[in-house]
Amino acid sequence: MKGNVRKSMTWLHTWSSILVGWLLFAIFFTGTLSFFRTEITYWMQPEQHAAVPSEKALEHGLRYLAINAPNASEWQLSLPDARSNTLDLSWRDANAGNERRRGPRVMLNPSTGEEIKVRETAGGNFLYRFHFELYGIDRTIGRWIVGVVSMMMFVAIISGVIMHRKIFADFFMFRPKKKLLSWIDGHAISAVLALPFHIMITFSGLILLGATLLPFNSEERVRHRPQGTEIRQNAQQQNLASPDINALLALPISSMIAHAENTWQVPVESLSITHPGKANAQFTLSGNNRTQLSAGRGGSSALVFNAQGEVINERPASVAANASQATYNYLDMLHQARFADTLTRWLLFFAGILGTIMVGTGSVLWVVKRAKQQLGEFGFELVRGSNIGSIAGLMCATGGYFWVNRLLPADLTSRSLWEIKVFFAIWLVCVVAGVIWRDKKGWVIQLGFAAVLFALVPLLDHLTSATGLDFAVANGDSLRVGFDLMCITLAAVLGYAAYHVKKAKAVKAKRVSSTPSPKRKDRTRQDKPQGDNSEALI
Amino acid sequence: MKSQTVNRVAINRERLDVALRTLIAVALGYAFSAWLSSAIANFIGADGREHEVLVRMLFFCVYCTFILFTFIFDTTKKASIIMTALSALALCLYSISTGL
Amino acid sequence: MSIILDVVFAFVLTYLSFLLLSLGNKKHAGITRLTSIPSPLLLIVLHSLAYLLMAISLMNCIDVWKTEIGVVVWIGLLQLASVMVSATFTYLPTLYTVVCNYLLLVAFWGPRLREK
Repeated sequence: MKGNVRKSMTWLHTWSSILVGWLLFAIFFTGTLSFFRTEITYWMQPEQHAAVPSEKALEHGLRYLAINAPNASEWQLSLPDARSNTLDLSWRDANAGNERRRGPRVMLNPSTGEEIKVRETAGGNFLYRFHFELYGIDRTIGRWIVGVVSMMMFVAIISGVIMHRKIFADFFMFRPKKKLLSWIDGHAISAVLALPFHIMITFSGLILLGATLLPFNSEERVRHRPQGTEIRQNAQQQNLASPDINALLALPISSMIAHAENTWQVPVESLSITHPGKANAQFTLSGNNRTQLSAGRGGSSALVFNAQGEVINERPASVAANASQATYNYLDMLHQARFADTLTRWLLFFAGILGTIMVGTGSVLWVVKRAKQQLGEFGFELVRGSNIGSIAGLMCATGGYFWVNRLLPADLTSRSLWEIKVFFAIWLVCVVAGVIWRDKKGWVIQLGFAAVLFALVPLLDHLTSATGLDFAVANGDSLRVGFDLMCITLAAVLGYAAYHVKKAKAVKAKRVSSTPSPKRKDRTRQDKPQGDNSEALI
Repeated sequence: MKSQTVNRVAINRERLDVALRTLIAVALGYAFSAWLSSAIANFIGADGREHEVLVRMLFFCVYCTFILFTFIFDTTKKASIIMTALSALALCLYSISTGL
Repeated sequence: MSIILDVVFAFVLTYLSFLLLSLGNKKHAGITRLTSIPSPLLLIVLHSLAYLLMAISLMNCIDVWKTEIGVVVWIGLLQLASVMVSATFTYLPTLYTVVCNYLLLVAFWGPRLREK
């Protein structure tokens, strides 16, 4: 289009990304945070912070269920693990029939057995849902918008690879303090060094949205409902006497757990007891013992024991029916990281951060490259202003989201809705402020504000949580401490960015004109600056 | 003055080119990708869930390739002719695959 | 504890392999004993050694996490290591120089280092 393949790809890369750069940044940022949505929700429910994993967790759980759900047909216990410090219980009543969902759910402190009542919060799930269906609009429309933006991102990635002249020579090259070159290097490094991840996450995101984006392709699947007859019959046959707690505690559950952990070499995460307290009770243990992503969500195996502690059944991990399904499952699992242990999750998070930096530096690079020639033009100023609101403003909104979680009363009605409203309100203010103050002042204010918000998060956490940070450190609460440390790290990065912007010299416009510029080669007259000495740093 | 008019005409023509290519890439590309990916899945003999996931994965690869190629050609005329021809071919393949 | 050691081992191997690969760039090689782009023969040796280290790292990851997840972890470590190499070269050039010089002594033995 522009003479040769590389030039065409450069043009396509630029326009497919810059038009949606602001939304792309938000999708990438919230998506990256979603890798830790469980941990974020944990932090945003400080009532959970008093929970300390304990060896007595199982005993407390069984005791609670025996007292509060004696006639249940099934008990479910989710034990504390790497991503949760609480003991989560649920049960299915005997007359629940063939309901697919769990019944009542309760959260206990594993060390004391006390019930924990948490505040209502949008938590990490808001960020997760926002990143693939936005918020406040029809779900289908939101997914279409995200789908279209993701497709543009995919085109931008592939065209970016094609247009990159010295992709291997520039592999490790980062030149700081070189203005335009630094932005180019930053963009290239964050893109190229994590290229496998970027291609995977974008492509897998697209195929996950495939049901919406490809309505011609949706297969009407008949949902297979398990027959309810068996369960109802069992309920009628049940003796309605409460399980004996002492008998329950005497069961060899610990040895079952030890057997399972020895087999899988991973901790047991959940225990399901059918016909609890009866002679025909069955104990199903499962953990994160998945070894194959291609198996999909049923990729973990489970062991079933009888009341004597003997293995009576092993539910193997499912296997993909064919190569296509295996490939799809692989991409599905990679995108959602449901399989990931702590290390893998952090590696994916790191790659997500690189992707977020890639999008952000790309948007800024576009402005820096054109600052001298296009300062004052409508399109340029629009991008320059929206960059501030979409990048720095989103940081402010996220920081504000965490702050308002702690400042709002815990028993406020619809408090999760208020948290989301404040998030968008802050973002809107930042977007408007970014459009008004499009020069370095706008960047410094918003980056600085975000840095302060995040820097004070640990203090906020200490003052507004059920327990102080010293308690968290003493009890090895890595979830909470990790969150606070990440906030401090982010604050340091934002603070340094604000300082760097403040120090940097502004670029003076070579030409200020309100009319669209012709092609640069065809410039027939030089326009002198018209008295507006607007400056553009970035 | 004349050079300014020439510039404006050139700019407008370029914008029309871009608009046309975008339309071809997006709309015709969607159709092409749908037909071709469905045809491939049909020829392979996939059905049910396998057909659905295979089409999903193929669709986006084909769509991306189509978009890239639409913008590679020198002229918009060449791009529109070739991509339309390819789309017609994809439609034929799809028709054949569903007829089997 | 053993899994931490496995991870550190795999990461160190990928880091070293990327250091070796980076020596193919003029600017990177320039601050080491090479002082310039290595000769084609040395380049082959360096790259071969780098790929060998990567392969060992991959085998280690597969051993711990099995194939499908092991590959994912390995690619993640590659990404992290490559960023670390860039950061080392940019912000800790002395460390980069020292480590690369040691690697070169291991990788090359005998003939001239410099390309004529």
